[in-house]
Amino acid sequence: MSRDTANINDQLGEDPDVFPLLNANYNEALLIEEQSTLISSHTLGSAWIVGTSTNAIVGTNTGTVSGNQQVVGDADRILTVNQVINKNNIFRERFRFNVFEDTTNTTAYWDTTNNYIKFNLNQTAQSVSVYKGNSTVIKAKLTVTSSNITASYYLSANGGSNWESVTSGTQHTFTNTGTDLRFKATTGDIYDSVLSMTQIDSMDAITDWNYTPNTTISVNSTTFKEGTGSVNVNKTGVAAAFAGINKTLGSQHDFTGKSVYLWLYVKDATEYAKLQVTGSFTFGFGNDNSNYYTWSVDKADISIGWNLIGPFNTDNISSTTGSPSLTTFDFVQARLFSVASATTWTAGSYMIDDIELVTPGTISYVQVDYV
Amino acid sequence: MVMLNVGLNRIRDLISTDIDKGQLGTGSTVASSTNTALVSAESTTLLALDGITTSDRAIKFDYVLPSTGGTSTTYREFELQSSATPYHYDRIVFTGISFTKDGTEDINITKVYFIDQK
Repeated sequence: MSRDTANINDQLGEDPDVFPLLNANYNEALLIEEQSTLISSHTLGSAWIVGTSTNAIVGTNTGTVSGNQQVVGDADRILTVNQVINKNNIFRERFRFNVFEDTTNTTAYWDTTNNYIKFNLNQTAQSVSVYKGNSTVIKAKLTVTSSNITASYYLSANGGSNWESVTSGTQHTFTNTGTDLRFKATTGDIYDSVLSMTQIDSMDAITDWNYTPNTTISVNSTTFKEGTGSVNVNKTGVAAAFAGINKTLGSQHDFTGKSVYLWLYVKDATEYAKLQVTGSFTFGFGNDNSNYYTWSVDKADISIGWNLIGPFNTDNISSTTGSPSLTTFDFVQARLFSVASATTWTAGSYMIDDIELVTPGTISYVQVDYV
Repeated sequence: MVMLNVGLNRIRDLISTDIDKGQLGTGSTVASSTNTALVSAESTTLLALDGITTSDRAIKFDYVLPSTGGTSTTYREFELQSSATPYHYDRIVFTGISFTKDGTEDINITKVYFIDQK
């Protein structure tokens, strides 16, 4: 928009010659970036339209279904992407809209308010076609702007039939070429160092852990996920239908924008059958036993063996007790709910290990150059 | 000097309120910034946009040619325009799409502008 040149000359010293100390070029430019154009066909499906056995314009569209036709009934319509056109063969995604989100396969949060994808552990962000046309894509370069994340990146040139691992910023030659280009980013497990994490409790010892009536606890040094052991949470009493533990941690944690994960072990089918169907496991995190959030996990989301449970964060709280203060969390609670009060289990049936506070990572920009 | 995001969003709003219609055509010559309109516009496809959505420094335009509209032909170009004068904002050329009036399919076109500073 403007261009200014500044020369600041030193006229001091013995030499009468002058020379520039600073030669700066200030160049402010506005860029209206023409992003992708997506052309698709939308069938009428089994919708019927007033006035004719085929089609009819019956007034201004009120349902924002399409154009200026009033469609009554909207079943079975199929949207098929015909072409995606990018200027200079460069696709750019700035996460302002969901146009290119594959909502079926994306488990990360495609956040069009904050303009990024937010990742927790074991999550995927996948696009629909970012290029589709007649030209065969043989090479592509994925370039990602990210924060606090070490994700794995993939490209597919054939509509997702074959995903090929790529490195951000490095051109990739496809083994499986095609005419339908897509991208995918995934995060791994708790031990893949994909996100920043702080261990809340290693669960290697039972020091400072309290337990509710009907419950006993012990260290299991045989079956564990991390460190030297896990904690057996045993239901030995029959006065209530749950076994519970809680602890006031030695340090406080800022829970703002973060998530908690933990490992839960279920021994076998016999023990699994003892779990209540709804709200089988609950996790509490907060300031004390009067001020904390609770998250509830159903039996369907728990399997036999080790389960990575989470994320627990402020986006998916099941209930709130008191008024938790997010910046000073130091109280942890976990409960296992049984099908009946009379149900019991012993050491080795259910264990908890490695409670971690995870800072989500973000991807704020994706660019795909292709030929 | 630096352009502020609120200033860029003001420009975004001016553009998004100015553009009101989309149009298809059958011309297939390569798009150029010296084009002044569609090469071969199909007047029956000049329609109000189905949606204009703004986000931070970005605008999304949605155009729909309903199955009941337009003319049966093969469309190869598309533009966004401010229809009153009219002003033609852009032109994009694509592989031909065969369209049948009163057939069984709409044509949907989605286009995004992003306003940034360099």
